[in-house]
Order: sequence, then C-alpha cells, then structure tokens
Amino acid sequence: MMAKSKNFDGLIHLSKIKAAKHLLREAANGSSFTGFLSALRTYQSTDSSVQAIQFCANRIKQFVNANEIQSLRIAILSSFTLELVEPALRVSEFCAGRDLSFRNFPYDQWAMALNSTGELDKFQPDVVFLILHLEDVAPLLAREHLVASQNELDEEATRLMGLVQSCIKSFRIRQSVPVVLSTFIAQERGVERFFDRAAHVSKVRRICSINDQLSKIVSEFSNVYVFDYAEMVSDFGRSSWFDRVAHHHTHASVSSRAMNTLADEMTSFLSAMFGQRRKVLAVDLDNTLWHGIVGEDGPNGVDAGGMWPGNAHRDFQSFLKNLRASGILLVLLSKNNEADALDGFEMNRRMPLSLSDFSVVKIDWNDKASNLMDVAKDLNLAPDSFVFMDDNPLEIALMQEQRPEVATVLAEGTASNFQSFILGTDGLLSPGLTEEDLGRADDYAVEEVRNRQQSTSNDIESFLAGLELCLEYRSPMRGELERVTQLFARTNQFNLTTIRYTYADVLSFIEDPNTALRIVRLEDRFGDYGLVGIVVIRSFGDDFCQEIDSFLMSCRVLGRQVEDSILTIVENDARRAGVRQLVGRYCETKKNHLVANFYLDRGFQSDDEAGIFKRDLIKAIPMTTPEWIKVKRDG
Amino acid sequence: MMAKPNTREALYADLIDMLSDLFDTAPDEIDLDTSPDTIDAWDSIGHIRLIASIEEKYDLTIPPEEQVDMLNVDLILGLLVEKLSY
Repeated sequence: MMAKSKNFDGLIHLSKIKAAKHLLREAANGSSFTGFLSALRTYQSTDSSVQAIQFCANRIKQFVNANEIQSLRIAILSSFTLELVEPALRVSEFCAGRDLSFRNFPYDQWAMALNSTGELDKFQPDVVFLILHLEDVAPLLAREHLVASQNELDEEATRLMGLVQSCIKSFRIRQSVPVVLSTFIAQERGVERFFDRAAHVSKVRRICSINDQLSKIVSEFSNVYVFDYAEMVSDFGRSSWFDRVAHHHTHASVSSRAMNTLADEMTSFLSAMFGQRRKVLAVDLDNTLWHGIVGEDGPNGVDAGGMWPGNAHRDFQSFLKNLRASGILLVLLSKNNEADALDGFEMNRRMPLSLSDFSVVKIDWNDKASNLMDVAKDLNLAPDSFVFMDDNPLEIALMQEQRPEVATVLAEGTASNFQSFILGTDGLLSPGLTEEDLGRADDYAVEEVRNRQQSTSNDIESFLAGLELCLEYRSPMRGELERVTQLFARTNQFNLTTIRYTYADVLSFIEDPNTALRIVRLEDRFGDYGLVGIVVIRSFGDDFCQEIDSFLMSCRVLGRQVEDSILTIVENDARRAGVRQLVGRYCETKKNHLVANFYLDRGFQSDDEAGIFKRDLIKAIPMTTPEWIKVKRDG
Repeated sequence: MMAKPNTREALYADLIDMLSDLFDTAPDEIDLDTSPDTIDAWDSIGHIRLIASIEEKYDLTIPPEEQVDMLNVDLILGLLVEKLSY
C-alpha cells in the first residue's frame, strides 16, 4: 500500500513537471517577459536537474521578447574548466533581469588572457571573474606542504600573488571593468587533518594568509572585488563541491551538483554590484524585534534576550545592528501606543538595539504605507529604496498593494530564520564597503539633529546660516572615483539627465580636455556629508558655448540651496573662460520630476528643442551664491 | 529523484528526451545511431553535460574508462541497461 501511494505521488509530481515544461516551451514563443519569467520560475521550482536547467537555458536563448532586459557579458577566467556553469548562470541571470553573454577561457590561459591583448579584450566583458584552485596554481602547498621547505612554500605563495597582481595591473591598463577575485580553499584535507591547526607548518594558516593578501590587491586597484569562493564552498560542503576524478580526467574540477549554487551566488554578487541598492530597512516591533506584544504583555513581558525564544530575537537585533553599520538605515514602524513601545525599550536596555539606532521612529496607529511615505519624505529618499519587514501577512499584503515599489519581507515562523530572509532580499548587500557606507547611518542620525534644529529656528535662512555649510568644488581625486561611479549609478531624484556613466566613462572624462567632471563635497558644523554631487560640463573647442551634460546630487543635502551654489560656480567659471552661452539639459525619467523646472527657475530660457535650456551670459545678470554657503576651490 | 524506467524501451525514451533537452534537438531527429558526429552541440563539454545528467538522473557514477566508450545512443543504452541490470 505504502509503495503504491508513493508511486502515485511520484506520478503526480511527474505530470506537474511535464505541464510546467510544456508551459515554458509555449511561453518562449512570444509570451511577454513577465509571462515567460513566471513560467521559467515555475518549471525551475519543480525540476532543477542538469537536464532541466539546460532546457531552461535553451528556452532563454530562444525567447524573443528579451529586448527589455539589460545584457551582461561575463568572462570567467579559471584554472579549471567551468563551462558547465553556463546554463545555470544563464537562468539565474535571466531571473535577475539580465541577459547573459558568457565566456569561460581555457583553464591554462587565465594569466595570458589578463596579461596581453587578445580574446578577452575582444569579448568586451562587463565583468571578469578570476577563480583559481590551489591544486592548479600552488601545487606544492596543495599536495606536498609537509615535504616542501618553508622557503619553497613562501616562494610559491609570493610568486602566485605576484602573478595575480601583475595580471590585474596589465589588464587595468587596457580595461576598467570590474574584476572579481575568488578566495582559495583546498579541495580536500590530507594527512594533516588532525594536527594541522596545532602544527608549526599549518596548511590552513598558509591558505588564510594567501586569502588575506587579496585585500591588499583590492586596495591597490580600483574596481576590484573579492568573491568569497572558499566560504561558499564550505556552506555547500567541500566534499560534494569538488569532483576529484573529473579534476584529473577533464579538468572540470567542480561537480555538476554544485553549479546551481555557484550560479546563484554569482548572480547575487552581481546584483549587489550592478543592481539598485536599497537604503532603508523599515521594521516592525512586536514579534519581530522582540517576542511578545508590548501593549498586551507589558514592557516586562516582551523578550529579546535570555533563553528561547527571546534569544532568537536578540540575535536578530544584533544582525540588524551589523546591517546598519554596513550602510543600511533602520526605521521603526510599529502599531502601538507610543508610550507602551518606548517603555518596552526602556525596560529592556540590554537589548542590542536601542531607539537611537533608528533613523526614524514611527509608533502610532496610522497605516504603515502612509507612515513609510512620511519617513521617505523625512529622509529625502524614494520609497523604492525601502525594504519593509513585518510578521503580519496582512501588513505585508497592504504594503505590496499600496506601495509595490517597496520590497517586502514576511517575518514568518521563528526569529532564528529572520536574518536569512533579509540576506535573501535583493539590494541590501553591498559587494564592497565604502567609507560612505560605514558612516551613513550615523550621518542620518546627525540629520535628525539638524532637522530638530530646523524646527527650532525661526526662519529657514537663519537656520541655514547656523549650519555653517562649507562646499568644496573640484576635480575628483583617484580614491573618489568609485564613489563618483556609485553616484552616477544610484542617483535618481536630483539628477537632471540621469546618464548612467560607468567607471570607464569617468576615467575617460579625466583624460578629455573638452570635458570637465567636478565633484562636490559638503560639510557643516554637525559633520561631513562626503561626496554628494557631480557636474559634467562639455565644451566644444570654441569659447562660445558650454553644456551642462550631467548635474546630480544626493538627496540628503536638498533644502540647503547647495544646488544654487553649484550652478553659480559653473556660471562664474564659464564667464571667466569667455563662454557666451550656457546650456542646461533635462531628460525626464520616472523619478526626476523634482528638477523638471530647475533651469527655468534659475533664469534659463527654454529652447525649441524639448529639454534644452539656454542662458545668455552676455545679457544675464550674474547669479550669486547663497551667502550662508562657504565655497572652497582647488588650486 | 524520478522513478527509474523498468524497461529498455522506457530507458530509450528517457534518453531521447534527455538528449533533446540537453542539445536542443527535436526528439524525432534522435535514434540509436545519433552521436557527436550528428549533433553539433554534442561536443566535449556537451559530453560532460550528458554524463553529468545521466549520473544525476539514475544515481550512478560512470568511471572515465566507460565515459569515453559512450560514443552513440546505442552504446549508451547498452551501458545503462547493464548498469541498471534489467
């Protein structure tokens, strides 16, 4: 009986797979992008076998309506054959909204491909992954570390890191696209398995030290990242990841079982790198941050510490504190009597999170979508930079309906699993930590102080004067180029033309005598805002005309008339250079209505051509900088 | 894992389905003589994919010596019948 019913279940499952496969085949011929994507996800969730993934990849290649998604050219340089990952990567990339072009270079050519002009350059990658196995590139350490002398092992490691470094250096001269280095892990443990950590000659310690040196390479070049291959392999299970027979037989050292995991991890990494980053996590309180309902259980009845289940909430709070330190702002959205919730924090002071960790706190009975919109306004951020987490499915559904652009996370089940839900949400993780990321949450805390100051000042001008704003306007320094690229990629609201210049474009501007890229930094008596604005000005060989090609500013600094100050500087510079006409451009997007009339409001004349605004510098009275902003120039 | 086919015919049908999906070829173009010479996508990487797919589907390990002998559908079928012992 048992066997029979099991068989029956198996048959139902089989027919489900067949149906999903059929639907996907149909969808590939002319369905919309979303229709196709949904068929793809459904089939993939019923069957993720080698055969099924290859079938999916073939349907993606065949799919005709892919023109609305961006293409991404990935080159993998590996010391072993990794072509098997292609179908899984095509599927995961497509699900992330990217159309893959893929090249895996022959395993013995990774160094040559980086070192000299050739196939890699011809492929024109958008990103290069370098994935090396110790067995291929450091054979002494991988196979005979007990036999080799310490000197020989040192030399081998030095030679390897020297090679990687010189390869990247030579590639960087030719190309500026991101390079992603992977960390090292041994494919298996050998005779040292019981004594390695205790021994004077430790293999694991040597591998750690090689991995440590990767961060040195990252700091030496721009746009180089580290992909933690070793930790991913550990998560998956080392002995299932590597295939020792295939390693020797075909150089396909990674097992086919591991390909879906590798593809998913690479895609998440690429999304963190190229995708839009969310900036805020708005989180519910009762049964999310602590166990219990403060309005019913009282301030002493809620629990985020000690033993189960409070300890799971405590650890989730610690996780959020770390998330905050990585540059994501926290906002508290709770339906409670404010006094009850505040009591809860007061009576549980040993919880990891305190009220001051939240950039904004909203405790009332209003609906959460409107509260979130208010918070967005307070923080000068668009709602699509928010992630919302709640344990109540109804609140999640309401948010999805009213604000579909907000990402939502249902805090379902035990709090032990909450952090994995957050980690699985696109847009919260960053592939590298910039100084701006590190200080962001604290900056916004300062912002709150500024806002409070604003409400106590009688008029806006005396408030602004009291801030002691100081603006710096100059060419970017080397170390600022990544932040510049980040601003081009992420600024939506105060962005006149929204041209997404890449790192390579930025580098070319610096070389180009007809293009001036200027950055704006801002500070006031409360703190440093960092690099908050970019202007790109084009001239055309003569002195007659200059065009403001790009003008963008972080929304954090709006409301201080910094933009007027910048435009005045641009105009004064143009006058000094003998320019007779200044041209501004506005390209409408879904998000930049804020600046639709920016040039008109500042004395530019609209042109016959839409989106073009001109200012005759001979006739116009010079603009003046708002007097409360001090301007610092280079040179 | 899916139920194992219990006849040579069912196994052959499975294989046709698999080759069709892996190499994006119509099922009616696949027969016992189909080989790397008749399908472009069945190159050396394609062969690794096919082996991986067979190993996964029938929960087998095919050693390198046998992998190199799987030169057409007929030979693969013969090897699988032997391995799955019908």
